[in-house]
Amino acid sequence: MPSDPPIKSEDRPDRGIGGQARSGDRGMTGLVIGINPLISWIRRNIMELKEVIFIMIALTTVVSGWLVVSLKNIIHSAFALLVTFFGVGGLFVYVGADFLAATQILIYIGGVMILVLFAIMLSEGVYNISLFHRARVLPALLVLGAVPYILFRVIMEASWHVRSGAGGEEVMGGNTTQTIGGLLLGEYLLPFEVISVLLLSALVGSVVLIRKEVGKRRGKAA
Amino acid sequence: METNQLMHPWFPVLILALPLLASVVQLFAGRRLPRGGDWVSTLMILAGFVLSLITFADVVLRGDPGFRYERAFNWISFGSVNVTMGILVDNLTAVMLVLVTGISSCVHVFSMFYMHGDRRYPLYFSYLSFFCFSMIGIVISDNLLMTFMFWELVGYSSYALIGFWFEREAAAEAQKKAFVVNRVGDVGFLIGLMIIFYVVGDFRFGRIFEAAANGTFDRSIPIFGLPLVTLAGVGIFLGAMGKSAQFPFHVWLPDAMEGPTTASSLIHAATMVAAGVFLTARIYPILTPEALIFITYVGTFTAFMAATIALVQSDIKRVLAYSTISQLGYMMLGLGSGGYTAGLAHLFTHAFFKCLLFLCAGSVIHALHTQDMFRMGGLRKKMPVTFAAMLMGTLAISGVPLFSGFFSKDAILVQALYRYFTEPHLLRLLPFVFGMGSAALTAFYMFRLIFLTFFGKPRDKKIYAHAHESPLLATAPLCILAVFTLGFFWTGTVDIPVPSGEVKIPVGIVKQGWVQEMIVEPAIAAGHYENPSLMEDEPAHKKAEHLVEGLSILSASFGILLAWLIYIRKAVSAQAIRRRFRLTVLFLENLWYVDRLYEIVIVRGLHRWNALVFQFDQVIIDGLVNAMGCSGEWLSRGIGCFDRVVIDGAVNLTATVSQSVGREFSRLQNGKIQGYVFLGILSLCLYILIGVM
Amino acid sequence: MNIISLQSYLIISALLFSFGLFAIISRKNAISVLLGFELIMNAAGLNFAAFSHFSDSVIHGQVFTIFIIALAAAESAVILALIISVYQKMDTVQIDEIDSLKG
Repeated sequence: MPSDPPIKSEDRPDRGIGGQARSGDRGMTGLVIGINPLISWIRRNIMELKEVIFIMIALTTVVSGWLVVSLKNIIHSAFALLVTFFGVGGLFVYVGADFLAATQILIYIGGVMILVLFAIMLSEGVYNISLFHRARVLPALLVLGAVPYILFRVIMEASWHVRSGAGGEEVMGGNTTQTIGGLLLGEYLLPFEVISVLLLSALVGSVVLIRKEVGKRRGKAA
Repeated sequence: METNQLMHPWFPVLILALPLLASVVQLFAGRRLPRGGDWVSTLMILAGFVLSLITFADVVLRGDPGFRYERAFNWISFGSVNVTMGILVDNLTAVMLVLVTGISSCVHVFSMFYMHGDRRYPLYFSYLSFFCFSMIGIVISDNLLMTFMFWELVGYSSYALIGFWFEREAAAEAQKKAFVVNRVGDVGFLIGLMIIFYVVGDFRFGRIFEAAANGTFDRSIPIFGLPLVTLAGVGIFLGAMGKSAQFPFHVWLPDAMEGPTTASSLIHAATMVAAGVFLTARIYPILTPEALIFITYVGTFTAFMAATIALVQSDIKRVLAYSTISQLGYMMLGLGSGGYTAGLAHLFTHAFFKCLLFLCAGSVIHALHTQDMFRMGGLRKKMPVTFAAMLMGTLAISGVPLFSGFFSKDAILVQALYRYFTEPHLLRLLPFVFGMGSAALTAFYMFRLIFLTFFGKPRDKKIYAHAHESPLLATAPLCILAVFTLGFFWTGTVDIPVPSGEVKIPVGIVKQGWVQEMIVEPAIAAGHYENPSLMEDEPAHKKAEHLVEGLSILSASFGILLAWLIYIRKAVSAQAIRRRFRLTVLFLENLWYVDRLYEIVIVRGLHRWNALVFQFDQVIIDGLVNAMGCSGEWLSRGIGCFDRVVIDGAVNLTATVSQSVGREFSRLQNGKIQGYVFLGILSLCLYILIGVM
Repeated sequence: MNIISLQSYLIISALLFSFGLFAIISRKNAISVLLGFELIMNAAGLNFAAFSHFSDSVIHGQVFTIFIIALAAAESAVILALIISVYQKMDTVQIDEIDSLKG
């Protein structure tokens, strides 16, 4: 289960991480008293826990997505991306794609993020880069107001043909791994093979790209 | 012999052709021939003379006054109009042929003496022969067009001969003057010609006279109140005025004396100037009384004017020139008064004695190398033959009985007086009075000439010393011509005037009264225009004859006496008279100011007009051309400017614009990938948004 | 309405997509652009998965998501290799300064 974004100790100096009272138990009492009406509001309005958690995961994903974009420090935005990956994985679970969630975390977080972090570290001057082009922010924001606007209009107004019973009890249903495996080697064999080739070429290509320069660099250095 | 057939039909054409042949030969081969080829011309013309004599004998001695031999051939035809060329031989033609060829022969022979050693000796004879050809052409022509063509050729011959010594500026000017004045008269000729052709449709004399008789002319519409026939007659007479040096076309003849004297003797004394009279006689049947009056007065005035001018001339040739003009005026007077025969008779006699006078003058000039009478004198002893011949000629021209001139002049004056008697009118009196006066003047100035030249003490001793009689080559023609100044050749009788009339003693040599009987106007138009010469009123005629005879002898005597008194006896001082009549003398010496008038009005006027036209051409025409050139230049400059500024500007602008636009657009491609992506997304959003809305 | 619905998923993915687009357009660092790119891929994959669950063919969308993940991974490898080689050549990772194709 993904952790909530840590409550910084600076925000509530008399509470530690997790909300425990730091100095005295007065805080704890306050918490219990404060949370209870919250829980009862939640209980009244939102029926089930899974929905609450869904909302929390969704919020996490979106917020960290925004953080990826807006943080100055690239390491920070890389880590925000990491959190986003986790969030998306969690969202995968809610559509019954358990294999997919695992794959997401393995590959994205285990592969891509490492790669990105290595790349960040390999390129110098990371820390003193200003964020945006000042002239470009406004038009970019305008555009990026337009894109979601269009998408939201589409999403809200289109009549989606939804399978009956979706999003209900069958959130976690079936053995998706086997089915996916079977499909990969069955119906989607060609794309599967193509992806393999693609991965091979990506591998070779990136090595080729790097290797020349490294060779040259070595030559220069020597 | 058949009527109207010649014994030798080809003779007239032969007579025409021989001089032409001579002229051509002379022109091209003259220099190479021995003696310059003068014998070619002379022989040809002598041959022509012989042939003319034969023709004369055939025609005139036949005794038929109405003889007409005509032969024509088609020359041009256009449409329904045929123009023919042909010959007409009648009594008048025969006489004229003999006259022209005979006098030409004498002149040719004399020229061999006179022009000897001249630089262009062969050319002279070429011109002379060509002139003979042209003159004979006029004489034998049977239609007005042919006459006109030869008329012009004669004019050209005169031009060539007057300006024979064209290195002298006076000669060059004179030849131009002669031709131009002639041409002016020819305008009238052409108008007359056109009128006749318009009315009659043919040029032949015969046809014209028939038309006149039929009244074709009367049917035409008058112009300016004058019937066309009068205008035609006057028009053709204008041409005759030009050729025969009548006032106001007389101005060329005195200046024509710049040419060789022998040429003057032939052309400007005897033949060419007579062509005008000849033409007037030829068209006689169509001359209306109005035209005849005009002719009479022109002749009268001319005769009188020229005689007065001759009084004060000092150049021997000028005196003779003005005398010629005067005598021609006489002839016109005669013709105009109805004296067809009289006028023509005077033409014949005048031809001989005037040629004689000129040749004698030539002889004198050749001997003395001067033309100024006031440097001559007392030549009678040194040049007796010349003197005798000249005296005979002078007697003839003065109208002394027994000489030819008496007979012809009297005929004219008789006719004039007769007309007055039959129409007692001032109009008819004046010609007679002035004719008489001119006769007196003629006698005077001619004897003045004789006395100044041959009598008295020589005024210039040096040239007198050199003077000698001319050789036989010169004197022979003089003698031959002198013979013909005797009256009996023309009348067939020796006329001795006595108070009761003339006593005519027949001489067997020529037929009696052949001129009077043979030379009559064609009968065809007789009576149609009431030619008065055929209206015989015997008593009046007789009365006129007597009166004229007496008066003319008186006037001639008076003239001779006066001349004798002034110049021989010196009883009356010429200088005193000069002083007394100073203004008159001035007027006369300045040739009645006619030449001066022409000079001022016409010549200077023309020069001014030419200058004006030249200015016009310079300023306006050239200006226009230059302006066009300039405007073309400006236009091209403007266009160039336009091309540079507008066209090039547009092109440059296009280039600049596309450059700027390109530059602007290339700024889009700033190499910044994010920009491209942004633009792509922006476009997509725009499409969707616009599509949605 | 149900919270866990297709629309929610679509909204989330739309938002993620927008953020990713924003990053691509406006971030200076080349690697930040990669991060944005990853966000977009994730959004796409999430979209596929959501559709697969809420449509009749339950599994098929998930296979596509697998592909997308694989693709994203390969691509990020290549991109990073490119970035590093560009960095070695131009000594910068700022995209603004990599404009030798300017013209």
